[in-house]
Amino acid sequence: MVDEIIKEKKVLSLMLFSGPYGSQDADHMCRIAEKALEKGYGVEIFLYGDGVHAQMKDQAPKMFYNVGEALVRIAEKGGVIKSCVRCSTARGYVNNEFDETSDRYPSDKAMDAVKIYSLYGFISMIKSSDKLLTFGSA
Amino acid sequence: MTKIALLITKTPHSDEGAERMCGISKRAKEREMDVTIYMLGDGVLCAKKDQKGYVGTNIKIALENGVSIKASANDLNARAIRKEQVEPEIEIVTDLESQFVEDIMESADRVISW
Repeated sequence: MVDEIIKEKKVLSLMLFSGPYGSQDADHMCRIAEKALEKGYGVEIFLYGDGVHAQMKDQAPKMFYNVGEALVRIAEKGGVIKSCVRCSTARGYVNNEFDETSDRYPSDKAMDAVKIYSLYGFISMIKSSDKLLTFGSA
Repeated sequence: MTKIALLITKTPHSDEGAERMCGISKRAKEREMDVTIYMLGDGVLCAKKDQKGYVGTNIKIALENGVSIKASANDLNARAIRKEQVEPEIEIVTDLESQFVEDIMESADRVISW
């Protein structure tokens, strides 16, 4: 449903390769995503490699910009956030096989705002994207 | 005219990002493209004037060649970099993320980030 709505707008796609807090890559990505949503663009985010750590539930940095809260805000405003299942499995986020009903790989560590998905999720994202930006190094 | 947008969020010398940005900017201008560089986060350190070395030299060349360069005011302030310490032709922008999003979605043909 969200995927259908997003295609009616110009879409900015963002790919994150770095985990939060070690650098500002995730901060920049989230801030740009929020600006794009404010301006009425569609936003799709794909978390890859260490970037999947941005999906961790209950992040509570004392001083830094809270990336977890930013991703929740982005999802609430209509942004679509997916993360790579292989990268997520390697880092202990995936509990079970793909769940057709919820259209995601289940995880009790990842926040609900992020959908753990196969890399085909990234392929479909770039197909519908007007511009693609990457943050961090693979 | 083809318009390209280059986003730099890394320091001038921590990795090769800023050097690549300068190289691509130079080649794009040689091909008569319209080039805009956006400096965000640690990327604003590339805006400091009187830098020696490849990045400093090539930022000056880029400005002389008509490349438009914009640096985030918030990120300059966060790093205690005053306006007098920035290359004078670089535009300091209060809400750079906002302007960047609008430019890449509405007018740039291509965007590259480091």
